[in-house]
Amino acid sequence: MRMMMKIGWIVAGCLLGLPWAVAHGPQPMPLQNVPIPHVAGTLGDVPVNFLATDGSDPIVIDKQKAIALGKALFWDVNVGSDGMACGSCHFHAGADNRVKNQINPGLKGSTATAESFERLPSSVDSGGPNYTLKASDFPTFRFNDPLNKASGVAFSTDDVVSSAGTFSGDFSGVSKFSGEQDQCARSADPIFHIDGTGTRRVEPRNAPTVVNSIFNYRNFWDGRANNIYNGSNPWGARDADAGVWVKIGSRTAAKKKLRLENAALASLAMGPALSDLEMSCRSRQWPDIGRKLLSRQPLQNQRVHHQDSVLGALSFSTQGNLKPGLNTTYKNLIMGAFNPKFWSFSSTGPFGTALDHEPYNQMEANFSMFFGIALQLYQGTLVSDQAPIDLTPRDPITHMPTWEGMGKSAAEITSLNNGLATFTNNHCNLCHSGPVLTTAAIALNSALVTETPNAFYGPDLAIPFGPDALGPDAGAYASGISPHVSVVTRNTTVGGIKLMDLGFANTGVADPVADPGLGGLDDFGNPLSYSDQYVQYLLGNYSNIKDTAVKTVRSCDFLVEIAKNVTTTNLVIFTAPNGIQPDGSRENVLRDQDCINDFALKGNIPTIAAANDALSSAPLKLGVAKTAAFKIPSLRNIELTGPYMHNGSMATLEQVIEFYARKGNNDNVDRHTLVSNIALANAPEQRADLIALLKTFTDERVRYEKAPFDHPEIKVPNGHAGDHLQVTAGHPLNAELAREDFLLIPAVGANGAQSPILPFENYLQAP
Amino acid sequence: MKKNSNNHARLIGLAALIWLAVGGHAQASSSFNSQATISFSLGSAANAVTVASAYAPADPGYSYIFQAPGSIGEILPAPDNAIAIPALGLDAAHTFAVSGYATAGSFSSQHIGWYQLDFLNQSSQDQQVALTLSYTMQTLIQGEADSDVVIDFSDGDTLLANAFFNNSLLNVEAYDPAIAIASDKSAITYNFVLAQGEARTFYTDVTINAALQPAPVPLPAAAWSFLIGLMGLLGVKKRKSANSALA
Repeated sequence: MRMMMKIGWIVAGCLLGLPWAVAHGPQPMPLQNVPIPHVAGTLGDVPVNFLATDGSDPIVIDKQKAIALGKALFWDVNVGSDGMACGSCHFHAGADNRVKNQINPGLKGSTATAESFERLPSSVDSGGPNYTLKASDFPTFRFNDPLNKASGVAFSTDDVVSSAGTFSGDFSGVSKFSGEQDQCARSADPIFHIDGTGTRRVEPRNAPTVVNSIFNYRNFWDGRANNIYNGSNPWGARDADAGVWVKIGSRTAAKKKLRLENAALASLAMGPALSDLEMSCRSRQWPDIGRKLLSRQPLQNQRVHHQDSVLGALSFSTQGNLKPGLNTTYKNLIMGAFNPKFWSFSSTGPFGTALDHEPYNQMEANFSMFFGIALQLYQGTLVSDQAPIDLTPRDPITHMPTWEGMGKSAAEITSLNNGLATFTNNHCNLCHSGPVLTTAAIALNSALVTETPNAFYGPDLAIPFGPDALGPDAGAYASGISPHVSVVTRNTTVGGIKLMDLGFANTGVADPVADPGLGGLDDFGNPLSYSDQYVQYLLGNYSNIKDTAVKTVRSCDFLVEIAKNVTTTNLVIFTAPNGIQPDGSRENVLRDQDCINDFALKGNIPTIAAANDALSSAPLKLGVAKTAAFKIPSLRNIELTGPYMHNGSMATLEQVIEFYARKGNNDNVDRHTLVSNIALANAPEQRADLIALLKTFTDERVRYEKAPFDHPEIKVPNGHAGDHLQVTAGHPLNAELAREDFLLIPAVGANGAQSPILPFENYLQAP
Repeated sequence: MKKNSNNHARLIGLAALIWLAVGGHAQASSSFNSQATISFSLGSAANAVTVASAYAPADPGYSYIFQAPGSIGEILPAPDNAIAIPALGLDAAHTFAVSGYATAGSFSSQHIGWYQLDFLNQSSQDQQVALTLSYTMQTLIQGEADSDVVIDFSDGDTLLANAFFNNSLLNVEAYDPAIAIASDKSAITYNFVLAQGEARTFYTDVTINAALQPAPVPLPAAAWSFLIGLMGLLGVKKRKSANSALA
C-alpha cells in the first residue's frame, strides 16, 4: 500500500511537472537475458503447443529450421510479385535508408492532397515520384524557429517519406520453378508516375526497424498486426473465419481456428507480401505465394555468404566464391520445421483453387502460417542487446549505468549522465520505457516487473525481476507498466483525460487528418484501438470487443483513474454517486492484485448504467485518445534508423529533439500532454547530451551487420533511371513502366561487413 | 508378381526414353518419374488370424491431371496403377508409379492408389499382431519439375503413420505410439492386439503428386524439329510396348 501511494504521488508529480518528481520512472535498462514473450494459444479451440520445448505435438517441430526458413523468406526477392522482399525495405539496421523514389503523397490521409504530390522544402522543383531526397528537405514539417512553435510554420506537407515497393498490377499466376516476376497485368499507376510512365509505388508510412520488433505487443505503426496470430491474416480473433488446415485423417483435412498470443510479428508478416503498395500484385493470395516458392531453392538468385550465421551451412558458397541459393527447397525446409499435420495431406480437395483453377494443396493452403511463424521466429533472433547501454557496468543497488571501464573520458561520462537525467526529467522515459525503450513491449515489461523467485536479467543476470526491475522505486509504474498485461491506460491529453492504448501515443508529429493511425478501422469496420473497445466494455456492449485482451484491462493500473470511490462528483471521473463497481466484479474475479493504485479507492469502473448515462451527460469520462496515435518506437539503434517518425519527416536526431523541444508540431485534442512538459528549447547542452545518450543505444553488431544481423545479398529497387522530372519508359516488365536502378546490398557473414552502415543523413543528397 | 516386374521394367524403359527425348537434349523441358513400391508382412504368424489384402486405384475423383492451356507434354500413370488386385498377398511387392514430361506450359497431377488389409481373429483368444509396411519411394526429376510420393497408413478413422518423400527428403511420422519406424525409415511396424473374433481394416494410400513447368526458354527451330522427331519415336515405342504387354 505504501508503495502504491508513493507511486501515485510520483505519477501526480510527473503530470504536474513538479521538480521532485523527476529522476523517477523507468530507466534505460539492458536487454540482455530478457525473456522473449511466450507464444501459446489454441488450435480448434484446444490448447496447442507452439515449440517442441512446450510439449507434445507442437506446431513447430524444429525451431532452428524454422528460423532458417524465416531468414530465407525474409530476404528472398521471389516472395514479391516483382522483386520485393521483406528485406528490400528492412536492410539497413532493420530499416530503409534509400533516398530515391521514397515519397508517398499521403494516402493514409483524408486531405485534399492525399493523392497528389507536393513540393518539398528544398525548392519549388522538388518532391514527387523518383525524387532524390536532399538534406535540405528535412524536416518536412518545419517552423521559422525550430525550437519555438510560436514562431510559425515555415513548411508543411502531407507527403510521407517512406519506402518504394511494387509496381503492382492485376495478378493472374505464378511460375513454380523460376522467374522472379509474377504474371500480372501491369500498367502505369495513376498516382505513381512521371508523365504517364509508371514508377514503383511507395508505402504511406515509413518503414520502422524490424530489430527488436519481437517485443512489440502489436505491430505496424497503427497496431493492426494483432497480438493474436490466426494463421492467415493480420487480424487475429477479429476474423472469425480465419484458420489453418489440419490433416485429421489420410483422406480428411479440416480448417481449424488458430489463435496464438504474443505473435504480432506473425500477424505482421501477413500484410506486406499481399500489399499492392509493398510487394504484391492485386488479388494475389497466400497459397499463390506458396505455389510460387515451395519447389524452389530459397534465395534462388541471391548470393548467400558461406559464413551466414543461419544459412551458411545450407549455402553453395565457399570462401572467395559466393554463390546464389540454398541446397534445399522451401518445401523441404517446411517439412523439416513444421508438424506434418499442417502439410502432409497428400491430396487436393478442400483447399480451393487458383485463378487458373489448378487446385491448391495443403502446403500451399497453409503457406501463410509457415511464413508468419517462420518470420516471427527469425525476427525473434534480431535482438540487439550489446549496445553500450547493455554493456555498461551498473550500480549494484540502483542498476543505473556507471559507464566506467568502457574507455569513456570523464567528460563523456558526465555528458551521458546528463543525457540520462535529461531523458528522465523530460519524461522521455515514460513512453520509451524498459529494456526495449518502449511501452509497446507490454508483455516483456510486465514480465520483468513481476516478482519472480530466482529470475534475473541483464548482463551477469544481476537485475531481479520485480517492481524495481525497470528502475528504482518501482519506476515502471510511472509508465503504466504493471505486472499484469493491461493494454489500456488513462492519461492526459490536450483535450483532457482520456483512455489510451498502452504503447501508443500522439505526440503531434503531423496534422491528424494526414493519418489517423490508431484511430483507423480494421477490414471489418471495427476500431483498431483497444481503448475504443474498452469503452464498449464499460458500456456492457461485450460483443463489440474484438480483442480479448480488452476484457482483462485493469483500472487499478491506470495512470489516471476512471472511477474513484468518493462521494463527491467530478467532470472526468466516475464517482460513487454516478454508480461505480469494483473492477472485475462483473466477472466475479476482482482485479485487485498487484495494483499500481489503491484498489479500494481507484480500482473501480462505472456500472453499465453509469457508463451509458455518461454517453450523453458526461462524455468526457469516456474520452479516448486514439487519433493520430502511433506505436511508440523503440529507441534502440535509433542513430541508424532514420528517417524518423511514422511519416519519415525528420532526418536527424537533432531534428527529432528539436521537435520535442518545441513540444510537437501539431496541437490536437488527442496529443499527449507529456510533450508539453518538455523543457529543452533553451538547453542546447542538454539536447546534445540527450543525443549522446541515444547513441549508446546502438549495437555495434547492427552497425557492422554482424550475426544475427548478417544477411544474404539483396538487389533493392532504388528509383528509376532519370530523376523526378523525367524517366525512361521501357521496363522489361511492361513498356509503360520506367526503367529502374538498383542498390546491390552484398551478402555478409556472421563476422559482418568491413565498413559500418551510417545514419540516414549521410545518404541524402547535399543541400 | 512376374507381371508386376514386367510392368515395372517397362515403365523404367519408358521413363528412360522420355528422359532421353526431352530431358537429355532440350533446354526447356521437365520430367519426373516417381514410384512407390510397398509390401505388407506379419512379424509372427498369429494363430487363426486371417488377412486379406487388396490393391485398387482410388476413385476417379481423387486423381487429376491439370494442364494449362497450350501445354505440351504428358502425364503418364503406370498402366498397372489401373489394375485392381483383389488378393495382393502378404510379402508381395506392388509398385504404384507415375511419370511425365513437359516441354511447354504447366502440368500438375495427383494419382492415388489404395491398399486395404482386412484382419479377422477367428481364434478363441486375443492375438498380438505385428504388421509391417515396407516401402521404397523414388522420384527422378529433370528440369523444372517436382514430385511428392506420399504414403498414409490409417485404420480408416485414425491416421496411424505418414511417409512423405520429396526431393530426396523422406519424412516419416508416427501418429500412434504403437507405430515403430525402422531406423532407416524404410518401414513402419504397427503392433496391436486383435481381440477374439475382432475384425480390423487398415488402409494404405499411396499418392504421387507432380508439377512440371518448364521455363519458357525459346528453343531454336532446329531443336524443335529434333524434339518433334523424338516425340514421334516415343509414340511408336509406347504403342509397341503396350502391344507387347497384351501379347
